[in-house]
Amino acid sequence: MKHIQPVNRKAKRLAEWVAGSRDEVRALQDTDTPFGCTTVFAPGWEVDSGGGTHGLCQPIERDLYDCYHSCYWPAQVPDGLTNWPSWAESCGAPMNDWKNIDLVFP
Amino acid sequence: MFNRRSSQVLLLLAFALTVPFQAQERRPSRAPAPSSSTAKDRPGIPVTNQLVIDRCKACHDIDEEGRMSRISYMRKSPEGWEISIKRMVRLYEVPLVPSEAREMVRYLSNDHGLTRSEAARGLYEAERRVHWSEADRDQDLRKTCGACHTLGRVLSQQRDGKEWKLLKATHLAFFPLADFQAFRGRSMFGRDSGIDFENMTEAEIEEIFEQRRREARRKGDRADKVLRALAKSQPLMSESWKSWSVNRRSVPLEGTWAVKGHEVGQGDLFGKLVIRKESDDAYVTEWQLTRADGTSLTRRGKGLLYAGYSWRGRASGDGDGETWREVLLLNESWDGMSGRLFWGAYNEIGIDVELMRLTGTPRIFAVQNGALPIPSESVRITVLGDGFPEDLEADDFSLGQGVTVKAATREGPDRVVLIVDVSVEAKGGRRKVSFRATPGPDLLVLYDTVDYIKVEPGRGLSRVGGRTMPAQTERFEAWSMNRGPDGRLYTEDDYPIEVVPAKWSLEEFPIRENDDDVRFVGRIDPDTGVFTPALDGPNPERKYEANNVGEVYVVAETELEVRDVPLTRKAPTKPGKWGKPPEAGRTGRGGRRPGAGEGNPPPDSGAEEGHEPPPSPPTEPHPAHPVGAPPRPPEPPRGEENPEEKPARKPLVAPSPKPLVKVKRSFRARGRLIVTVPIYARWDRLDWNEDR
Repeated sequence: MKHIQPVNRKAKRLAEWVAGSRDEVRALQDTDTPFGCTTVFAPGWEVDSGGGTHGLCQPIERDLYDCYHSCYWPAQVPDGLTNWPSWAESCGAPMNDWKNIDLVFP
Repeated sequence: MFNRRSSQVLLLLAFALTVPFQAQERRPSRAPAPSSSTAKDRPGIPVTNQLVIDRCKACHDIDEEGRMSRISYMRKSPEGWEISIKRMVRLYEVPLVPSEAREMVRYLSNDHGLTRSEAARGLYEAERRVHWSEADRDQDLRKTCGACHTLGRVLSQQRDGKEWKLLKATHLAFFPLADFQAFRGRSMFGRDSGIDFENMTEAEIEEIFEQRRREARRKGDRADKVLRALAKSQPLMSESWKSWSVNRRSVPLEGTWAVKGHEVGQGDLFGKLVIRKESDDAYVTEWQLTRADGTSLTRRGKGLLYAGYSWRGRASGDGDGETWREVLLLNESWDGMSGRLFWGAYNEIGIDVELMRLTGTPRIFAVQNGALPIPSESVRITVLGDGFPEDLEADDFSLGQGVTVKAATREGPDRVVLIVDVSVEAKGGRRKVSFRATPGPDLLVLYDTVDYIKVEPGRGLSRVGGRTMPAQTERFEAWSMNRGPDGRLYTEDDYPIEVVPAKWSLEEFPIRENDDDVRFVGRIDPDTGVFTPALDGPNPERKYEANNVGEVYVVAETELEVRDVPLTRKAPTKPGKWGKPPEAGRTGRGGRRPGAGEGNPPPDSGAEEGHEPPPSPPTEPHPAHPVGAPPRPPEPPRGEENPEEKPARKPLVAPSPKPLVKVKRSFRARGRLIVTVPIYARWDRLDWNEDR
């Protein structure tokens, strides 16, 4: 790829855009995300391993009960094993009934 | 023989069956458990509160010295004790009414609480800050504990060695997955294990596994290592605890306190707090604050001082003003407090405050309008403090070299207005304000020009919400920045000047092809910089019905009238490789000032060349370019500079300054914003003294 040079203005702009955006992404991944985000796992709850949101399980409602039943994110999602065994009772299928999902206040 | 044996078995069985019943009978009775010699050797803090004994003794043994199992071997912040008590009520059905729970939290936070230095360590947890970093903490500690919650929660506890080990056991019992998620560390058996699975036989692999299992049993896992370190760094009987225990007394807070604060997006606040004593460690408060735009805030509330240093309060306005919570930490000399007043669904909105007790002794506390251009004439600044005598004169104040106080007018014992001149020779940077024999803190900032602007926070966080989940908003503000003594932009010594008004907008942060987050994440108010996220729930308009999450740029644009000070670049001291100036590209940060006289770039110019600080860490700089020269053709993007061009950029020699020429310049800066998913378990919703 390094031997291919853009010859016209449009190709130059495209090359610049690609190079620029690649740099930005790299910079984001190299930095340490502040603010209480859990970055250790890949993906994390708030941010993925790259510090962004594109690696997250989406939509979160699809993955929510997996987290709940397996206690995978006990600090972010109520855990079904110990603390909140009946949390899911008000909502059978979160993708459809997500408006019934409740918050818990440990 | 058979009969004898079977009778022995029956006897053993009968004994085994009776033991639990005896134990159960013993627990409710208040008879002290027989203490073993090891229990005696284990120092603990006796529980002296009858309510705690009555409610907890069913499960927690108490010995003849009043030490209760687990409770006596740990110390925690008020929030930590509140979480524990709530868990006991939730899981073990401890019968408690709210007033009893509050009394227990109060007793435990006082007598089994944290000293000042221990509370300061994890204060950001109690302050519910959104922006902080744990990056410099021990990486093992981060991976073991920070995988699920903030380290602030760990840092707000003191335990003895055995108790730290029991903390791990509790986690394993409640959340078994934590074992491999966080506790074991680098996988011993997986892809990251360093085992060459492809070129080894099964027997060889099994041998390595067995070896590693043995090693793990002997050495313990990563969590064991972390807990051993915590037992040393955060022990139950720390030196500060021993000192605090013997010097303990009621700390008087009553009186009037001067307050200064900053709220992101709203600017600085100044005012007073009046504290009145109600009962032991319980106080009534009245806050009177004034914002920079002249609007005033009045809040009345109550608060408690835990363990002599930790203030927790709550105050609400007379009208429709929000109720805020207060987390403050008293200083060692009892004359100052600092902390955060906060509100919002995720406690994301807050005022960082500092308080100074008004005693009548001369002290300097704050300065209003403390950003002074170089040069300037007859600038009016207001010095806030305490104990200013009636006979003060302009000469009593010292603002450092190059700043002359022409007049001083006393408006009260805590307020003086100064008229000052700043000479053209004055050096930029932060300055102390001193009064007679009273040295003051760095309160003034002198600057020759604005070199660029910066978005704060540089990386924002917001959570979708508004339909079923609460939304977490984010606020931004633009700071004008000076290049600092080294003359280079975006370096460590650049310093902030003041908050400047800006126009706000969102831009896509391109991270994948056809990235379109900016259409979905929410909107930013163009005038105030307040970002409101979009609604929660799956969005049928997005691919996979994704939530309205994403990453975007937050763009601030403004036009300021600033002094025309050309940037200079130091000449290289010796030629570098190939005869070029050493690291010419990297040292060229003192090149063209962003936005210098060029206005905003055309909308289709791609990257905002020369109009934004690079993302942190700074990437390749912009080439040197004297102000006033015709604009150069667009440069290649960062990291794409053609090395052949570098020799053409000659080092600039400092030209003579043009002190009084002011020009209008456009500035542009970008910050990043992550809009992410809600949290379904809200540990932060503590209701200490909720009804107070």
